[in-house]
Amino acid sequence: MMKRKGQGSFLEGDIPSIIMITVSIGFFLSSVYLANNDFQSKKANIDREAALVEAASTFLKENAKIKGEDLQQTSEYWADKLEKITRTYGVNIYVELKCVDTRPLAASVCSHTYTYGDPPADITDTLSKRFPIALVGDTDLDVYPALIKVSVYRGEAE
Amino acid sequence: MDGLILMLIAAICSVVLLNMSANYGTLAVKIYEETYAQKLAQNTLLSLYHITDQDTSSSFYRKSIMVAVSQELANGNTDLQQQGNAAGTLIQGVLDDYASALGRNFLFALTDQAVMVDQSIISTNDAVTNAASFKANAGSSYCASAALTYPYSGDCVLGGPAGEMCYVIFEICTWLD
Repeated sequence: MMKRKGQGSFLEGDIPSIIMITVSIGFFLSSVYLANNDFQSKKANIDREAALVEAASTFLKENAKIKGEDLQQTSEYWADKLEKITRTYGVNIYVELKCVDTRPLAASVCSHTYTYGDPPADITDTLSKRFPIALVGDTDLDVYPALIKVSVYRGEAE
Repeated sequence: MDGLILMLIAAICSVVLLNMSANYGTLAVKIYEETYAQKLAQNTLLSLYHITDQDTSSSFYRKSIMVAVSQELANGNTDLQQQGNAAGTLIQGVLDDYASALGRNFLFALTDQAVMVDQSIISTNDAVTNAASFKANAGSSYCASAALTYPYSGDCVLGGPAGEMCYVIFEICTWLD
């Protein structure tokens, strides 16, 4: 159809331009907001993964051998090691140490779970990893297969 | 028309931005997961040096599992899969405990010239009984290796001489189904 003289497209004119500019800016700002949220949550996840791997390395550096009582909160050695990770990554760390030996002779040692730190609340977003470690029992000659579970979380403890 | 151009630019920028944020950290998390699996294999390997036999009737009572392996090699025996082999039974027990707790597969093997010795393979996966089935079934596995010395008795049954002893390289591998 031929345009009449003096009649422009419906996209021309001040009002349509203002609407399109406003929509564009709104759309762009909302995508910046979404992308920023995504960046922040992923950065937090990477920090927790890094803290987990560093905690695993800490136990590995000690030759993957540990005495249950040494992990308790009163132990300055582990407290220093794990608090350093806590400070570096801004996360809370909770550690559980439990023997996994199914042999009947290990039953008395395996009935106890050793812990360090405060457990995360149920609603807290927690990342956990478990890895093998050797648990020293009553003497240095009594060593059992065990698992150490490291949980890393932000926010409230239980 | 200025408004349309601006809308188009805003749309392109938004798509680029959202795409960048969606991919952010994917590689880092993958690397951390791989590091974790590698450390898991290393921890398991080191554990075998420390864990002791707690069976009072065993000749390895309160001795490390790797002492039992060393003793087998000193006797010229590399067949840890053999029924009733003390070292093989101990390793199988520990790896089974770890496998059931972690939901992962584990494998122990002595190596000769960097190749797994079939009869020394102890695995928590029934389908993996030798080097070929390990390759076929293990997929993406993570391994850690270390040297074990054993008393010299004539020619070294595996590995090579190290002073007055012999040494052999052993491996621990872990993988997910």
